[in-house]
Amino acid sequence: MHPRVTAILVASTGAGILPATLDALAAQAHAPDRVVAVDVGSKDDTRALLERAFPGRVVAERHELGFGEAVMRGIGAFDDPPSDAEWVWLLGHDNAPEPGALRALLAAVERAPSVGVAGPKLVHAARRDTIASFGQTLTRLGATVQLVDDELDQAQHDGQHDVLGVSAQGMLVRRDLLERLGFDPALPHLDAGLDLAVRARLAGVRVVTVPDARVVTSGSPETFGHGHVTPARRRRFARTAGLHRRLVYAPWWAAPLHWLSFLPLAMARSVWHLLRKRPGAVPGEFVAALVAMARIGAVGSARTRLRRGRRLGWKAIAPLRMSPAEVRERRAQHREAAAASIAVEHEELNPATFVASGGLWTVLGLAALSLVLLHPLVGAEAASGGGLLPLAHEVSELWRNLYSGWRDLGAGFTGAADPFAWVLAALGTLTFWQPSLSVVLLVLAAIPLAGLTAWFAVRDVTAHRAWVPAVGAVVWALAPMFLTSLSDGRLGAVLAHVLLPVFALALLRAPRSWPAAASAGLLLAVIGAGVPALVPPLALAVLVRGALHVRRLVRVLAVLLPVLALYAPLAVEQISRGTPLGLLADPGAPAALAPATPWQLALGFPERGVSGWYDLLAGFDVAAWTPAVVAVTVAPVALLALASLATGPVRRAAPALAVALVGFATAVLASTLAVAVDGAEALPLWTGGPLSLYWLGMVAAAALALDGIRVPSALGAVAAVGSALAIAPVALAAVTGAALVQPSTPRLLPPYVVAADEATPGRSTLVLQPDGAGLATRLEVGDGATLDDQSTLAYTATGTSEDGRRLAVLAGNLASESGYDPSADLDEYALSFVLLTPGDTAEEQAIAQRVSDALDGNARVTPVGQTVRGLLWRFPQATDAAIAAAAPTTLSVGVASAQAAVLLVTALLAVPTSRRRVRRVKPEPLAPAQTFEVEDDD
Amino acid sequence: MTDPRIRRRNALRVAAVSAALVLAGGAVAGASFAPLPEYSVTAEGILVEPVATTQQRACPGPMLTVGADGAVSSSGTPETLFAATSGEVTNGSLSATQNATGTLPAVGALAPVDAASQLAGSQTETLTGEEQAGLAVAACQEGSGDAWLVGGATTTGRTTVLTLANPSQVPATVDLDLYGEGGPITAPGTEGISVAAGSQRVLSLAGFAPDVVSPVVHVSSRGGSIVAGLQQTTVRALEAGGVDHIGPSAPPATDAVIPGVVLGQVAAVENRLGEEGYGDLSPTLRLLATGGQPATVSVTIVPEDPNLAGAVVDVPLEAGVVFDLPVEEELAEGAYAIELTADSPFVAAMRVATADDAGTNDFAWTTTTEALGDTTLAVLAPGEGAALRLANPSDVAVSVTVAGPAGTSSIEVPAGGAAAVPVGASAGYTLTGTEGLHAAASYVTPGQAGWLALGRPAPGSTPITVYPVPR
Repeated sequence: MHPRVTAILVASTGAGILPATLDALAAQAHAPDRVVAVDVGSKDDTRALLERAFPGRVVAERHELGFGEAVMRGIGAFDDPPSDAEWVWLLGHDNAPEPGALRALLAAVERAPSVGVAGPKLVHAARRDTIASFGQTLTRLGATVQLVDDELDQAQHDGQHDVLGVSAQGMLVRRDLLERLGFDPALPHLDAGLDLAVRARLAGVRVVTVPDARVVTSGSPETFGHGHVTPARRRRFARTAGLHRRLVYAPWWAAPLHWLSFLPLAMARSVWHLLRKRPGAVPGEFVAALVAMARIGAVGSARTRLRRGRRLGWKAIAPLRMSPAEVRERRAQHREAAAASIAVEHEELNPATFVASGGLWTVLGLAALSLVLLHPLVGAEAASGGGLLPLAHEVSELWRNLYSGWRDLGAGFTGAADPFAWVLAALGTLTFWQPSLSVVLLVLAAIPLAGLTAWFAVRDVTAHRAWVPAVGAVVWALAPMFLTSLSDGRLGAVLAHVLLPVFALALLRAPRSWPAAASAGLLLAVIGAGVPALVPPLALAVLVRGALHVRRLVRVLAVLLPVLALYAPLAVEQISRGTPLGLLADPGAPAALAPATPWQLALGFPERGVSGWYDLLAGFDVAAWTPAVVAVTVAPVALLALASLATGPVRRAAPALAVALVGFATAVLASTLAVAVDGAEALPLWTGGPLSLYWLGMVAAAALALDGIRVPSALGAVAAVGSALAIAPVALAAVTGAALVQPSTPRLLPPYVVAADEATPGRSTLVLQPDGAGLATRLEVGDGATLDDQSTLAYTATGTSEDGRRLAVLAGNLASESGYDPSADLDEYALSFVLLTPGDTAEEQAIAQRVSDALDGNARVTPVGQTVRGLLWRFPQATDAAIAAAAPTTLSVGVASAQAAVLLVTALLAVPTSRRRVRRVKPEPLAPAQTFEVEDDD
Repeated sequence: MTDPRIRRRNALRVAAVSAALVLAGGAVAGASFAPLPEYSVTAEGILVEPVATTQQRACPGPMLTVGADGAVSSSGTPETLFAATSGEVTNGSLSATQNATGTLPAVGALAPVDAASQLAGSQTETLTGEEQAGLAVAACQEGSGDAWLVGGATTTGRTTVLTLANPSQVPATVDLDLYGEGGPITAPGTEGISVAAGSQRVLSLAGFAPDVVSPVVHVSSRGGSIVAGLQQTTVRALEAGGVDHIGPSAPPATDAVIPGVVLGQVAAVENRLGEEGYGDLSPTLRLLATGGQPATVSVTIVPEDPNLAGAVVDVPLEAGVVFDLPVEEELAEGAYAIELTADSPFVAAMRVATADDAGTNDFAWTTTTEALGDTTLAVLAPGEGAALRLANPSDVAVSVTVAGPAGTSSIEVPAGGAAAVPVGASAGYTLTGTEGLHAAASYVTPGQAGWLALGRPAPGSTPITVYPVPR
């Protein structure tokens, strides 16, 4: 005689599949003796279906319960006493058993009386030949492992019987065992069956799988009642359950240690998730840790339940666990299976290879050209002039400048750091023994680097001609705005030009890959930090890209995160003091310029005077035709860009030209804005950065045009030669050493001052600089102002600060025959030296003469003499005071840490950890008709 | 036949290129001609009024002679007068000079009263010796670190002495740059001349630059500021040919004005001009391009009397080569202002001579002066034939009020012209409304000529605009 079987059918909003399950239940070869249905807060007519099928035997639960708990409620509804000859069959509303399922299960438990739990073979509802779950086990570390995971059922696992655990769904369990052990209410989603089975094993009962019993499951097993579960959510459930079990199974003394380890582990595992490009799993990791930590009560009762039922030691079940070797073997199999399943992407790519198609030679040629053009900088320790100053002497100073807080500029003030400070800190760390050297190396390497990035970018947007990337690299690396930025020391614009091509590539790929999106984010952060005026147009590009890929909107919008994080503190400060436009100010040393007129901008030149063309042609007959001469040099690129609409793929050419238009518009707007002040001059925005964006669109469009079959190859050479000619005056100026950027010592103050600073640090020097009809004055602390000390916040301030006013009065009186007593100022600013820089114009020289006369006649100062930067005086009775920087506050450390965290997370995501499999497809032989194929820009 | 689909695509592409062309042209044209929003923060300087301090004016002292052994001596004693617009002037003197025989150069000091208070002084000395005879007039000056002395000569019979006075409390170190008609002159001892605080050094120019017809001396000093001057004595054979002090010219500039150039007793001067060695009686303009590049100076001679004829001359200058321009135009007796403009910075001065019927002659060096401020204090030490002479290089006529011991009078200085106020010497005059004018005081009687520049207080104590960086 068969033992008595009670089926417990748990349903939750499953009216869709419930009828099939009910039918299957009714069609059992061996029908259960009775059925108890549990309805868990269903929102459809599940309840009615159940009532109709099992009148009077439906337990209704309003609240959401886990499968295990719902089963326990169903058992609670039994009115007869427990018996060890009664079995309970657990089914969910989706678990339609095949007709012989119950018979097979019963046969298994009858054959071996030591068996207390039997699990069927769970198969997928949609693919009944695929096993969803067939026995579970634990690794040595306690992680759940499905013994069979989504494998085609070819009876290959039918031999396996004794297992550590089985899924709760379809489980046949002895009633007294179930009532004694009970499901753990803290495991509502996953591991409920496994946990029960483990405790059954510890109670000395066997757990087996029954291959002939097949039960269907839809969705993932044991996430019962949750409808569609995202991978991230499933991962979170699994992790919560795993951590809970860890606390329950651990020896009493180890449990607190485990509890303490959860958050650090979550941190470490988050890094791993980021490296595996699963940013979505990171929040779940922490939620899981916190939830598991919060459920101390549940852990206590679970441990009690475990202790009560336990008859055997853990060693008894050790052989059923999965050995580490087996775990490794399974992982390797998974990886192989995953790699095999990744769809091979078919992309039509340019056949060019870097070495064989001239890329290498182009970059080497550009490197040689760069060394010739910038030869004055070869071997220099530091560079200064234009927007450049040396960097701080110590790397630690560079990193201290990242805090919102004390800014060591002039008399010092409290304010947010420029985002560019992050770039400088990273850059300076590369040559940690002499941070300024990194700037020199970057300037020297900028031209070949720009060629390199452009080569790869052009290769990836073109499809046919292998030499087009080389032309693109030359035109991009010799762009007029780039060379002008280089010779004017606009480091931010130089970086932006080098990085824009790779940013464009990364943004194009961002919707498809996390590493690309994260790389785009990091590149945008660097570009945006260097050229604030590029943030709005590039953000617009990101938004447009996101709008075109709404399904990947989050991933594309994540590109904006790093740059927003870097700008957040500065934006708060600038906006709250009413100078929001100050956010656009160029970082770096303030440098005056006359912005170009719109037509000059259209030719790609950022400065009035067309970067030296007017001066170059001034002596010749063609002087009046300067604009025309310049236009001729730039014309090939411009004409090719326009022609791209006719000869190239329109889907790519039109966006490229749109980028050019946006870049031009940004440059024109930037030329009308002056948001910072240096001495007597308002500083217009540097248009070189926006022009690089303009040029990006132009070069991309021109490359697309050259890639078309109907365009004669010679045009490529013409475009390259034209661009080389356009930069002739800048190149001449650089070669002859007339560029603004000059090699310099790492410290700009006179050696006398530097030596004095080494003896007694913290003293300051008042620098007086004739400026037009007036006198500009700045306070330089220690061994002088550095590039990383600079702050756009200071240069965009409106009105004069208290310190500024006081220093002005001091400087005005020192510059005059005056009875002013500076003792108080000497103490306040720890003033030791006065430095007078020479004037440029006759007016400024007269001012310099006046100042020098006044200081010479001033008995309070002692002349030191002529130095490299000008005349130097010393205050003999300098005070003991020293300007000390205020320590960063907790808030500013927190803000900087948050910024660093955003960058770190992005960097982890950007690290490529899996190879994208791209099979190069040779384009079909060129045929005229092909140029009319409309291609996708993906 | 062409596929109609391809034809349509071709048409679309032509349209796209045309649209792009129009858009590109429109963008450039729109950016060029459409009114764009402009935004610029303003750079505000802070006008700093220096705290008033004690002002000093140091006079060159008596006319000096440097003997063959280098001993310095003097024969006369100058009459000195200081005055201030407000406050009490303290009369003092330097504490040391190389002149072993005469009086110490006078120094006037004015304790700080208010920022606008002005101090001025001058000295006159009439010499009647066998070698030194004539009238020597000089303004007492504020020290400066940079002065161009244009004048003097070291040819036979012409001696020129360089005086360096340091009225400050700090020792000074002086460097000299010498120029002559042959270009820059290098000589040992011109660098690092130390002048102790409160003392006067006396150097014979011939010691550095012998036999130079037209020297120019650039004096630059570090440490204490220096009052530098030249003293020229002319002796032709056994006849004394005049004496004069030469004060600093205005600093190098592309525009300059020499006010108060008086041509007196033209007929008497003409009489002697023909004689051997008397060539330097003719009015001569001395010019030096200082900017390291050639210059073309346009010289305009403007008469005070609008009935007299002026003259315009263009003079090309070589860089660093002093050029003496004899003013050969037939100029009638009277007073003139010389207006000079050039394409490159230069310095200038002019020598004029006078004589009486007996043939006694004297000369005066007139220099370019700095443009005046609104209020000018003119202090005239005792002397005869004194007049205040104003030149107005601007396009607007200016009315100047002259307040002196004899009351207040007013004078109109025509646009681009000059005017004079005859005044009694030995008094101070306050001129108001002199903004942009150039002025001098001349002492001219038959056979005696003297000239002193009226200057604005050196810029050292004027308000200055300061731009703190960052603000």
